[in-house]
Amino acid sequence: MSTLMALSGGVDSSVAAWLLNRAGHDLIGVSMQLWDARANGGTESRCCSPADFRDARRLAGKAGFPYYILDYEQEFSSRVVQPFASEYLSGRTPNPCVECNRHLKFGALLDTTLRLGAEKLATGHYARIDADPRSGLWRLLRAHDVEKDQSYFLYNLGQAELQRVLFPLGVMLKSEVRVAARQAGLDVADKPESQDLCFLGGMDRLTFMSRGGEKALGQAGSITTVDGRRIGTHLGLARYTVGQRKGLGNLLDGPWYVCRIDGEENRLVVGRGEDLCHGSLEVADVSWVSGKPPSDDTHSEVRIRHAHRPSPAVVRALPGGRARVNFHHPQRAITPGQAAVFYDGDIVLGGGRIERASGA
Amino acid sequence: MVEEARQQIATVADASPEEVVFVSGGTEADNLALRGVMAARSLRDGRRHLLVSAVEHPAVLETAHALAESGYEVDVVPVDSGGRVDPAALEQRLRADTAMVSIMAANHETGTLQPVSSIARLLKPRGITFHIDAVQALPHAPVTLDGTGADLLSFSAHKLGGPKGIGALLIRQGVPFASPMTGGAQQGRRRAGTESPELCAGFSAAVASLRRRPDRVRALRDRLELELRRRVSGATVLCANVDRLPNTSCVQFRGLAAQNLVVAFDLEDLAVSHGAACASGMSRPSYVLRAIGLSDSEARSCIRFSLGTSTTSAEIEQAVDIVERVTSRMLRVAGERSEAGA
Repeated sequence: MSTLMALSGGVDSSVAAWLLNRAGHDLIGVSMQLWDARANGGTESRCCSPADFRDARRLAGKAGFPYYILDYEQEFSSRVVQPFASEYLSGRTPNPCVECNRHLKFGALLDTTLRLGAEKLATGHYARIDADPRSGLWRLLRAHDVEKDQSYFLYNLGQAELQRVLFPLGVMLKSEVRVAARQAGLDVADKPESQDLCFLGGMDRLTFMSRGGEKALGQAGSITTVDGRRIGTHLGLARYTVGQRKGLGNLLDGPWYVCRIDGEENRLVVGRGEDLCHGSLEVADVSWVSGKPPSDDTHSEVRIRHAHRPSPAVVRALPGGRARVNFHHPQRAITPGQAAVFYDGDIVLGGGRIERASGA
Repeated sequence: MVEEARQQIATVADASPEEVVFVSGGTEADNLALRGVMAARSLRDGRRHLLVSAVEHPAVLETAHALAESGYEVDVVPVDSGGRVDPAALEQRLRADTAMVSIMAANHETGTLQPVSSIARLLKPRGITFHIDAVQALPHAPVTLDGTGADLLSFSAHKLGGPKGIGALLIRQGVPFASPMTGGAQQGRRRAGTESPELCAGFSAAVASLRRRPDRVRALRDRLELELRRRVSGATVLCANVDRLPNTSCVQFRGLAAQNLVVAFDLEDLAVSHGAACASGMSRPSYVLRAIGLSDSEARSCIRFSLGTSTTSAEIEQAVDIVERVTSRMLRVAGERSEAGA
């Protein structure tokens, strides 16, 4: 039985491939063509570039496994890039990496894995998978490297996915990965990290979104305070995210922070620092790693953005794939559109898309 | 060596050696043909209209688009569901200022043969220059200037088993031609640049050793198609009922993605392609398949099988086994995944 290895051409997936190959896995290397940055106005390409694919192809040739480039541009555009723009206009701050993992890497590519008759899909993500010794259920866990941990972006993986997926780097530190790359003589060992969203192609977000015209950033509308006073005009909702202070124009009595983005009324609601803090949030489109929602309130630590330290809370599953999170302490800038991910220590219980914050 | 090769290619096309212009391959032959004739006729008699079919190779189609952008008038003739140009539809698009028509002898994806002789008969009395891209057809059937009625023919050496990097454009004596390549008087000022004796020798050798076995290849191809239709659910042969190249089979596998099939077959050492081979790696739906009436998703589920003169019936049997096994696995996985709601 073989393993489909997702290769970006970067150091992480290269080392993952090298480790699995050395461990005797029968690999099929695949790079996903997701986006043509240059054809979309970009000046540089952070991934999916011919140079990246050349690196991946060279690795596969050196290790002696077959390598293919598969085109998922259509799915990437409809599942990730188009919603990215429309979510901002609706007043939410989307997380494209979550959607890409869900629909592309562990959706379309996992589908391809099984269709090719491979048993497992391996990627260079930093997260761990194991089987719960008591229940036998598959679990998703944080990576050993706390800095690199990507479990936040992977909460949509359920039992059907986890039983098919391998994350060889979950037990490694990034520094160990770099050392392994050098030991293996991989010429990508010192390749720089990709940080920005891969499809921006070197542009900032607003330049990217307005490449077809300024109207993609939305219509001008009012800025009101949390107590309902109109104090200014915004230039299109897609320019803003919750917690933002800059770019609001000259408002009297500043500083003001974006507290809420009202897509229906095309209104930006601003307030003081303390108005940004809320004790509860509601999530929709919830995915539970175990496959079913817990019947009781669950004590867990909840992360509301990738760079957020998980904070203790009680999670209550609600009907219709929703859940309510009550934090022990109020959290700053709870942002609709971002994911709230529930942890029990290192274990990811599940997560969902933040719909709204409430409570002081 | 160069002149011996020129003589050899001339013989193949039933032309005189002066009518043979060596170029770097099929793409350059098409470029030179369109650009050279349109420039000359525009100067000589003011005709600036060019007609091509919707299923031409990109070397013709994109050159036609480039000419349109630089001020020439270009029309594209549609094809029917078999991939054929209807001569009557083409005739309707001819104008008093039509300078040139470019139609391929055989399509690179479906293998469909075009009625080039009928088209030539329409063009001759109107004084319209006729270019035929014969790159795909020449390996399988004789293509000559007089046999087709063409004024220009494009050939490629590597399609005949020769080296990459050389081809020929045949230009009938007296055809208006102003070369876009300047900088040397070689080949009657039709293609500046020194010919490569090595590549000419390779081209010549490929022509000399060309053995067409169309009946044998066709019988194997028909066997492949029959077995695929019989044993693989959802398999449909495209352009099945039109005259085609004997070695080409374009098969649609309903509900399956061509790019997955190509990989799965390749892992079993069955080499196929989807779309034109030149575009592989990218799964944009083939414009050829769109032109014969397929939807985007249908076009993304088509695979091209090509047979060689050395293909055996045992290999056909193996190929069908592989296709049957791979497609049934894919359909089973698709069923399981949709049941599981994934």
